[in-house]
Order: sequence, then C-alpha cells, then structure tokens
Amino acid sequence: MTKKEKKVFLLTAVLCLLFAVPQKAQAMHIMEGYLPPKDCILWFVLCIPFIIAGFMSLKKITTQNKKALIILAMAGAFTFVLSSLKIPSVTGSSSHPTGMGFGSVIFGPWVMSIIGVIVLVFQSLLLAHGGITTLGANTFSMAVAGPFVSYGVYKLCRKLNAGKFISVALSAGIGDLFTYCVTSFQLSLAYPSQNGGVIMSMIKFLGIFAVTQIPLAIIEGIITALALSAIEKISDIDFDGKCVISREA
Amino acid sequence: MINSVYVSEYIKNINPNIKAVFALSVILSCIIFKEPLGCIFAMSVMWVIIIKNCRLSKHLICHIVLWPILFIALSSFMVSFDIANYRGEVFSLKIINNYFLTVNAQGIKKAIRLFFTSAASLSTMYFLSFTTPVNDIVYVFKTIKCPKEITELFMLIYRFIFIVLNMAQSITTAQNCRMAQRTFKTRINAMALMLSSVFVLSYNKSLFMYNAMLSRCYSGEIYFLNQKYVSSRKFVILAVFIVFTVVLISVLERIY
Repeated sequence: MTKKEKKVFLLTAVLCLLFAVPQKAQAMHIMEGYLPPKDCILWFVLCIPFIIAGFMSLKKITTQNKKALIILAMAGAFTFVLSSLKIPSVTGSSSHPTGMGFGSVIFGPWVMSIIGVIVLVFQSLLLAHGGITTLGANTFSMAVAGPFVSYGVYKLCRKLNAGKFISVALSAGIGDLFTYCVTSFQLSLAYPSQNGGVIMSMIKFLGIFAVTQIPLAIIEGIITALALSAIEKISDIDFDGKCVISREA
Repeated sequence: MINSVYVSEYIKNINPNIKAVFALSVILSCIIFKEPLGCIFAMSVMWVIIIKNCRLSKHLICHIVLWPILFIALSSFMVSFDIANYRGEVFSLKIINNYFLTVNAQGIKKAIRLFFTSAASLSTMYFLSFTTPVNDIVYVFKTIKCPKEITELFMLIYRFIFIVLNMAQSITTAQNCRMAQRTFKTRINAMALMLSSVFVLSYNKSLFMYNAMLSRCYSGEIYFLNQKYVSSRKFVILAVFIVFTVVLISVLERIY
C-alpha cells in the first residue's frame, strides 16, 4: 500500500467512526432492506414462540386486572421515549439507550418481548430506525435476547447476594452488549466473509461495533442503576424480585 | 416529527390496506432482486409521491434523508470489507500475522447493491409513514386479525408517547437551565434523575388515566372509531404499475 492509499484509508476510517458514533440507536437496529429475504423469514420464525408466550402473559395480566393494560401502555411509551433520548457519551457525541435492561428489570422479560415488538414498529414508522422486513431480526436482538439476558443477569447477581445497584448496572450493561452481539451475528449470517465464513464476518462486525458499544453499555448500565435507585427513593415502587405489573395485578 | 406533516386528503383517505400492501410489495421486490436500477426507480417514485402529496420543509427532508442515507452508506461500506489470509484486489491492510483487512471488487459490488436496496426500502417506508397515520395502521392490524389486546396496546402506547416525551423534554429543559450539562458526571446524574422522575410521573399518570377511564364506563375493552376510506382505482392501477415496473427493471438488469 502506497502512502497516498494509507492516507485515504485513514481518512475513511476516521469518517466512518465520526458518523458511526452518534448513530448508536441505528447501529443496534438493522435497517430496512438490509437483510436478505431468507434471513428476514428465519428471524421472524425464531421470534414467534417468544411473541406467543409474551402475548399469553399479556392476556393473563390484562384479564386479571384491567388497570394493567394502561400501565403496560405507559411502560411501552416510556421504553420508546427512553430509546429516543440522548445519553452522554465519553466521545463527546450523543447516543441513545436501548431501554430494554431497564424495562426487563421493572416489567419482566416476557412482557418486554411484546412491548418491544410494538416499540420497534413505532421506531420504524416514526423514526426510520429499523424496518418492517427486519422487524423479526430486530425483535430477536432487542426485545428477546437483550431483555432475557438482562433479567437473567439481574436474577443471578441477586442470588449471588450482589447489591441492587451492581446487579442492575451489570444486567443493563451486559444486556446491551448481548444485544449488539446478536445484531453482529445476524449481520454476519446475512453477509458471511468470503474467506472465513460467518465467524470471520462476526469478528469484523463485533470489532466495528465494539468501538462505540462497549463504552455505551457501561454508561447505560450506570444510568439504569442510578435511575432505578432514584425510583425506589422517590416512590413506593419496589422492583426487586417482582415486576411492577404483576405487583399491580 | 413524521406524524405532524401535512398530507393531501387524496392519499390520506386511500384505504391503508392498499398502501401497506403496495409498500410491502415494493420493499420485497427490492430485497428479492437487489438490482440497483430497480431500486433507484422505486426510490425516485416514492419520493415523487411523498413530495407531491406531503408538505415537507427543506429542513425536515435534510434531517430524514441525510442521516439515514449516510448511515446506510457507511453500513454498506462496512460490508465491502473482509478479513482474509490473502491480499485483496482493491485494498488490503495487514492486521495480525497473515490476516488482512481486504476489499475486493465483489465486495464493492455487494455494498453498492446493498446501499440501493436499503435506500429504496427506506424511501418506501417513508412513503408509508408519511401517508398513513398511526390510527390507520391500526386498521391494517384489524384486517390481518391482529389480537385485540395488541391493537389496544399499540394505540394506547401511541397516545402516551407524546405525554411521556413532553415530560422528558420539560425536565431536561429545566435541568439544562440549572447547568446540569456542565460536566460528564452531572450529565450522567441528570439523565438518571430525569429518567426516574419521568418513570414515576408516567406511572402515576397511568393510574390517574385508569380512574378517568373507569369513570367513563371502561370495562376492559377500548373501541376505536374507523374512518371511511376510499379504494381508489386510479391509485391501485398506479401501485400495480410501479411494482410491475420495479420487477421488470430488476429482471432485465439481471439478464443483461
């Protein structure tokens, strides 16, 4: 590679980083038209059991208590707004939280899967984040994988007698990181490397996303933990062990 | 915001099912064939329809087009890169041992196809978002027999989004007036406090809203009034023609 080529490459890399950093919300979402049809179908099919289970959970909750539907709707709106807010980033630019860790600790992962689908539809319709054909893939990463991992980490930490702050921070951070790992896997499955296949492609996508996602996952973890601690201080809502909706029901 | 844009009565009153099927058909045609010319045609047609029927400010167009297109361009650019144990045709940079970050002609072709497919699909999504208000999307949900609970939840979330967003914006403005954005630590603290306040306020608001609904005979079921829609034959013919042309251009491009 000549000196000129090196300069061009460096300039392109810097431009890539500059543009990629403030677009975290979109980095998490796979854009409309980005996945081939077979991948769209595959991820839709994989989501179905979780959506059915989420729907059954939603139906059970709303049948038991009429109030729950209103609280759930507010939870959905809160998750949407949370994912559209800018969070402070170490790079000086702004990014958006996923809000799934926050939601899964408070409302439980099953309910979050169904709320997540609706929020993703709104994001694609109102903000052009994600899309309809990529809804299955985005649902799997953001409304299934992320919340379940967040909830699992939270429960595990609490079982290991970790403090509430640490448990929430870890669950939100790890959930966020896992979401981006699943997104990378989805992209690498759709666009495998010519030489190393899916694994090599995944290394490439993970490497690209890692620059922005690791610091953001840490920040989102801290913010989520601080926010939940403040919620406990200023209200009578206790999120430990039981989701708010079940408690209300 | 997309939902506050003026849309002509003609396109607004067309049956949302027709618009949804049309948009989905165009997106599917683009992602199945992935041919740049077909995608460029689809993209151009969609923007002509949007600009002709919606009153968009230059600022909004720049905001909704520029950032997603830049993001699509960079995402497609990422796809053109590959990690391999040999040098690339166009570009290669040694990473570790015998591994290189490479760009091949095939990778560039793939990235170009992906860019146009994604841009065309996004433009089609914009067509659907601009011409079909969220209330009309509920009509599509009802047509595809989506469970009542999900439809109700969808509509309620849409109504609550603006309440929660206003609360968040007001609190953020108040925090900014009090120098909350001064340092990184204060920014983190302000964000966390704002989130907790918004959560508690919206949670309480939902309980108040439930009481208000209960006093208006809420029995667990919400009824949404349907608007009367027009099944314009002219629009259906135009939609079929556009989908057919996208497919035809893509097939011809693939053959030649």
